[in-house]
Amino acid sequence: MNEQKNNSRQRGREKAIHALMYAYYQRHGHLQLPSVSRRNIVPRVKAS
Amino acid sequence: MGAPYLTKGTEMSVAHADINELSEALIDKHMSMLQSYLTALLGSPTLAEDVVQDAFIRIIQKIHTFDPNKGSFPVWARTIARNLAFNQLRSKKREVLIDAQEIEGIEDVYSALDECDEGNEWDDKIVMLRQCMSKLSDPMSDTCKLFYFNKQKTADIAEALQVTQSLVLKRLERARGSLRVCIEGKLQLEKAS
Repeated sequence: MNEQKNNSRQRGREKAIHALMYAYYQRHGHLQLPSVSRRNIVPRVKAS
Repeated sequence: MGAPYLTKGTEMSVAHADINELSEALIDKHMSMLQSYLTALLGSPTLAEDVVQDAFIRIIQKIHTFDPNKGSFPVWARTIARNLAFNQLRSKKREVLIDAQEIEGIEDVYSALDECDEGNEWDDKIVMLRQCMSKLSDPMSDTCKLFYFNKQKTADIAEALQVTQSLVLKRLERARGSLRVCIEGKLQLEKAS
C-alpha cells in the first residue's frame, strides 16, 4: 500500500517535471539548446 | 505592517493596495508558475491556458481571505487554481486521471521551487533544469526537444528519428525520470520511494 502511494507521489513529481519542461523549452529552448542532431533526422518519404 | 501575501521579499498590505496594482503585481509574479502548475495537474498546456485566467480572477476575488499565518501565498494560490480547474472539468464532463498522492508529488516540486535560492523570478528557477538536461543522452535530449519545444506528436517524432513510437515514448519517460532524480537532488527533496 505504501509502495503504491510512493509510486503515485513519484508519478506526481514527474508530472511536475513534464510541465517544467514545457515552461523551460518555451522560454529557453531556442536559445540554450543545440539543434536536434542532424544525424538523427531522416527525410520524410511519402507513400505514393 | 501589512500582510506578506506575496512571496518572500515582496510585502504589500491588502488593505492599502489598489486592486489594479495588486492584480498586476500578482500576475507578474505568479502567472508563469501557476500556468506551469496547472499544466502539471491537467497534463496539457492547452487545458492549463483555459483555466489560468479564471484562476487569477478567483484569486483576486478571494485575496481578503488569504491568511499568511496559515501558509505561503503560492501554496494558497495553487489550491484555489486546483479547485477551480477540477470544478471546470467536472462541469464540462471532462476527466483528468490524478490521485491525491500525485497532487502531493506535484506540490512537492512547486513548493521546493518556491523556496529555492536560484532567484526570485520563475524564469530564474526553471533555468536550473538546464544543468539536469545537459546530462541527458543525445537521443533523449533530441526527443525532448522535438516533443516539448517543437510540440511534435510522438508518431511524427518517431518518423523523423526513424525509430518506433514506443521508443519515443520510452525515451520521454526515461528523460522525465532522470530529470526528476536530478531535480530532487537540486531541490533537496526527500525520496518518494
